[in-house]
Amino acid sequence: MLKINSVSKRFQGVIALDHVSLDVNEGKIYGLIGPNGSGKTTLVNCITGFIKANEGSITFGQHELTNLKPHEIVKKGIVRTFQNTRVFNDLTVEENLVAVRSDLTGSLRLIELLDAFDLNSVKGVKASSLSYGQKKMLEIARALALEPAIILLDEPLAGLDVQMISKLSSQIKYINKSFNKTLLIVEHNLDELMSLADYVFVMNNGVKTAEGEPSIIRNSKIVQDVYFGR
Amino acid sequence: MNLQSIKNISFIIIIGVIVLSVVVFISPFTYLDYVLMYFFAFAIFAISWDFLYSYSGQLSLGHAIPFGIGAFTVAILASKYQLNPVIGLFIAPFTASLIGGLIGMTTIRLKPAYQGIALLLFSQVLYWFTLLQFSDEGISFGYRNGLPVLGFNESYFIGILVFIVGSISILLIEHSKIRLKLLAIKQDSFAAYASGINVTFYKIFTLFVSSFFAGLGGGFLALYTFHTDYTIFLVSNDFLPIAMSIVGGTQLLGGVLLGSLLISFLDTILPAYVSLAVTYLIYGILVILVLRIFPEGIKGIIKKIRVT
Ligand SMILES: Nc1ncnc2c1ncn2[C@@H]1O[C@H](COP(=O)(O)OP(=O)(O)O)[C@@H](O)[C@H]1O
Ligand SMILES: [Mg+2]
Repeated sequence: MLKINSVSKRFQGVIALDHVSLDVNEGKIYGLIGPNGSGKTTLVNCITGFIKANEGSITFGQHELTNLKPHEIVKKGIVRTFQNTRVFNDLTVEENLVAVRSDLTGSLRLIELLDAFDLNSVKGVKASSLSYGQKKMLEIARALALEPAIILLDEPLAGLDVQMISKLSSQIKYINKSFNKTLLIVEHNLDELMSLADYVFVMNNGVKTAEGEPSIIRNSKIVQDVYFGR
Repeated sequence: MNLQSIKNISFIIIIGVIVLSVVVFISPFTYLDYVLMYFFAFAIFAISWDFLYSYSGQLSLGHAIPFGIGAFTVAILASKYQLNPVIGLFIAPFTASLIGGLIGMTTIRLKPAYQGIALLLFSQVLYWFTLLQFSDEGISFGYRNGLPVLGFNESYFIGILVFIVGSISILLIEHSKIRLKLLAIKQDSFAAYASGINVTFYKIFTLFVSSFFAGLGGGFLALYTFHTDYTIFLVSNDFLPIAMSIVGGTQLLGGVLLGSLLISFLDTILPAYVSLAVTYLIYGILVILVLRIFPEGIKGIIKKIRVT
C-alpha cells in the first residue's frame, strides 16, 4: 500500500538516498536496517513530508504523497516517531494525547491507550519528568492516537536497556496484532529485529542493497559483507 | 495548578482589576485615573504579546507594529475623516490584525530569535515612516469647535470596556479547544507537525489574533490621549509588553495583567522623578531580578501561595 519509487535525495555533496524503491504491504512488521548514515532517517523524512525528494515518487494507496505537507500525510494515515524522542514536555501525558486528538478527551479510547502503554498511573504527570523508556512509550501512544494505517518508528529501541527492549518489542507486536497496524521499524542493528520483523530492507550508503525475511537476510552474503562489514 | 484553577485565577484577577478601576474612578486621586487608562491600553497589549509567545512560541520583538497601527488607525480616521474615535476604535483592531498579521507572516519560517529581530526591524521601519509622513508632531484630534468629542468619564468607561472585552476574549481563546494544539506547537513544532497539527495555519492564526488585540490596546491609547505619533513605534514599546509578561509570568493571563499593572504604575510615576534612561534601567534590573529570584514572575508567587 505504501510504494516508494526510485526516490533520491542529495544534501550538498552527500547522496543520502540513491534511487531507493520499496513496497510496504498491509498488516506486516517491516524492518529498515543499515549502518549509521546510510539514509534511513532521510527516507522516513521523505515519506512523512519533512523533506522533499529530488527525484522519484511516493504513493500511498491512491494518494500521491510526494508534494504533501507533514500534517497532510498524517491525515492520509502515515505517522512517524523520531530518532530523538519528541514529546510535548510541558504537557501532561494525557494532554500529549489529547493535543493531537481533541476527541479523545474523557473517552474510553484514551484510557485504553494509556493502559496499553502502561501510562495510566502517570497520566497527570508532565512528560518532562517521565523516564526515557516512558517517553518512548508516550511517543508511540501519541502516534497510535492518530489512528494511522502505518507507523514509522525511527530507532525506537536505541538507548534502551535489555528489559525495556523486550518490553517495547512485545508492545510493537501487540500494536501490529491488536490494533492491526502496519509498522516500519528503523534500526541499525539487525539482531534486534530478527524476532520482530516479518520482512527487512537493508540500506547502505543511500542504496537499498537487499530485502527479504530476516533469517534469509541474516545469512545472505551481500549483507554480511556490506552491512556487517566484516 | 490544574487547568480550571489557572482559568479561575485569571478570571478573578480580571474581576479584581475591574473593581480596582471602579474604586479608582470614584476616588479623589485623579492621577491614578491616568495610570489606569494607561494600564488598560498596555494590559491588552501585553496579554496579546503573551498569547503569541506562550501559545505558539513566536517571539515578537516588534509588537509595537500592531499596537501602533491601531493607534494610527484611530488617529487618521478621526483627523482626516472626522470619524468619531469610538468608531475608529472598532476599526483599529482589524487594520492592526491585517497589517500586523501580514508582516508577521513573512517571518513565520524563521527561528524565534530571527523572527523577533525581523519584527523589531519592521517596527523601526514604521517608526521612520510615520516620522517622515506625519512629522514629529504626529496626529492630534478629538476637538470640534474647541470642545473635546469625548469626555473623560466616557473615555474611562470605554477603557474598562476595552479591558473587559480584550482580556476575556483572549482568556477564552487560550482556554478553547485549540489550547493544547497551540501549546504543543510552542513546545515542539516539529513533533506537532508530525502529529497532524497544521503548524503554519495556527501560527498565522495566532499572529492575526494577537495583532487584533494589540491594535485594540493601541487604538484605545490614541483615543484617550487624542493623539498619536511616531514614538508609538519606539523600541521601548516593543519591549514593554515583554517586560510586563516576564514580570507577571508568561502563559498565565492573570499574571501578565498584574505585571502590566505594576509596570504601568512605574511607567507613569517614575518619569516624573528620574530620566527615561533611568526608568528603563530600572525595568531592566526588575526583569533580571525577577528572572533570577522568581523565574516565573508573579505567576510563581501565586503558585506558591496556592500550594501553602
Ligand atoms: N539535513 C541534512 N543536511 C545535510 N546532510 C544530511 C542531512 N540529513 C542527513 N544528511 C546526511 O545524509 C546521510 C544519511 O543520513 P541519515 O538519513 O540520517 O542516516 P541514518 O538515519 O541511516 O543514520 C548522512 O551522510 C547524513 O550526514
Ligand atoms: Mg537515523
